[in-house]
Amino acid sequence: MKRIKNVLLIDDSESDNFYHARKIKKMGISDNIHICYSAEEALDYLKSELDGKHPQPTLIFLDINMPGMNGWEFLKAYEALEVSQQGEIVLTMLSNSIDERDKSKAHEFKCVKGFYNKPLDETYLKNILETHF
Amino acid sequence: MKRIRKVGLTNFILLVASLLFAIFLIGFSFIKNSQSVDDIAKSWEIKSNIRKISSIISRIESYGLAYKFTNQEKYKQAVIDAQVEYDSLFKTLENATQEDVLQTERLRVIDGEMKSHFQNYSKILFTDSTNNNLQANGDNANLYLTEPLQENLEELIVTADQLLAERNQRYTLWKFIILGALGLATVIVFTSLYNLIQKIKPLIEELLSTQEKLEFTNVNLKNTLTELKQSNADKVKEIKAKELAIEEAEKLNESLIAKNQQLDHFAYVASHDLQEPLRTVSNFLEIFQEDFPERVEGEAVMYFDFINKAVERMRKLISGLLSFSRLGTSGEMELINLNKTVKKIKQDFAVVISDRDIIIENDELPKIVGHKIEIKQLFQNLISNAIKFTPPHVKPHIKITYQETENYYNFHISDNGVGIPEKDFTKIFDMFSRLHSVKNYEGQGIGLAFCKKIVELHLGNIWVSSTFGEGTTIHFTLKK
Repeated sequence: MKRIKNVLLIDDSESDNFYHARKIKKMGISDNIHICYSAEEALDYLKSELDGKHPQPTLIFLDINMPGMNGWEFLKAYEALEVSQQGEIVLTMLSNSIDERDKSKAHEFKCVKGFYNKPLDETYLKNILETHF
Repeated sequence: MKRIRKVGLTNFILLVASLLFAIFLIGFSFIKNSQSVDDIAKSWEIKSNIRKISSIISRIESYGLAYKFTNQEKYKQAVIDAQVEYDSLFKTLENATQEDVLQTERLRVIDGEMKSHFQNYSKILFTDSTNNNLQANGDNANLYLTEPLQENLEELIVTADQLLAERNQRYTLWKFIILGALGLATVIVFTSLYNLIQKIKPLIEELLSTQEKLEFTNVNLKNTLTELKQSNADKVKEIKAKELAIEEAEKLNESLIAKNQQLDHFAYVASHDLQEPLRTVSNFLEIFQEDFPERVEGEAVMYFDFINKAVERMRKLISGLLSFSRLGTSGEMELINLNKTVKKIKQDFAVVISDRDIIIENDELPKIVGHKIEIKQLFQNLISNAIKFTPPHVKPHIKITYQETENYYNFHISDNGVGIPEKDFTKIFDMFSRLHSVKNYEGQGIGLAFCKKIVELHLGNIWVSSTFGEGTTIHFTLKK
């Protein structure tokens, strides 16, 4: 299994974050997992510096349906960030696969490389690793 | 109108002709009459001139005699004056009697004699005054010229009188003719008028009755007009009421559409938000089983199985509800070739079709305009139902038939499955309604509810006919 440097989870659901982080760790994808409970918090995290370096997560999982700033609004702000502050791969997650409009909307953002349904199970994660890394 | 013109014209012509004739007659008589008057005046003048001549002759005679016996110059001069007077008078008389040949002849005789007399007379009176006495005796007779002349003159007067009487008579005659003509004209005018009145009378009566009728009709018309106005006002009121009703209906419709949207939104949000706690339950069931495998043993395995199945079923129900609320929102209407749609479904079902030897027959289907994903789902749900509700020992035989009417496409999908009891014909289209237990036939009871919503989305209708135990036919229409 390939290993990824760092992963950022942006989701307001505590249980989902717990489950996803556990899955990622358990599958040995990465040990460096940062969890943000809102889009605003995620933006602050991306802008933050440690030893003159931005976190620049390799993989970002973004929940769309969040209170306050939602996923789409985060994506707009994210695209406006400096390249040095952005991560590598952004994937959006939805609690439902039905809404076609949300799928097509996700494709409007260049940084969005994929669209997945919650929960992220092993099949999904394997597929993600094979596709993007 | 024609009749009036006819009557008017004949009468008018008759009247004018008669009047013209009468006027002509009167005019002619009048001219004749005035001519008679002139003639009478002329006759009187002639008569008076004759008398004057007669008197002049007498004067010449008497002055001549007076001169002869007195030899006074003044008598001689008087004779000469009388002669001049005679000449002028005679000329006048000659002019006046020009037309009458007899009278002219008589005058000529008189004049001839007078001239010869005058010559004699002049000789006797003016040649020699000394010889007067000598010749006086012998010529005495010649100085009396009146006798024969007077006779002639008397004759002239008689003739003139006769002429005068004749002319007087003629004058009277023409006077009577004028009066007669006037009377005739009056008679004609009155006759014509009477005739005209007689003829016009029925017309006028007719006109009057027509006028009366017209007035009556007018009153009726007014009444009708009033009624019309009234009914018009009623109509306007009715129209206003209808417009109001339409407005209200539109408002209701709008609010209904808004409510529907709200309902859809509610279903979406509810199902969306319901998913999360459900996911948590299933996620942590999984984590629990992973972390504490020693605790999940014996009957606990069965309990966990029940919980997992319930959660899975709940997830499907919510997902179905969510899909239901999203129907018709997938995009614009587009042209769909239903033959391709059915072909695609057959491909999707390829495995089960070959497993159970399923026969799916279909007519040549039309191309329709609709929501592509939903239409596919409609056919897919109906075909999968047909397969699902055919007992395992029976080979499913599905027929898709199609007719076209003016406004609709009519489809019939029939199977040889378990059939539906008549009491459930409407119930089957309700959301989450199921006729069989989950144990026998799996499902959430949303398939036909979906179909109903999709058909209604395309302004059609859906219903079922079935013989219980023999098969089912689902009928549906889609608006063109």
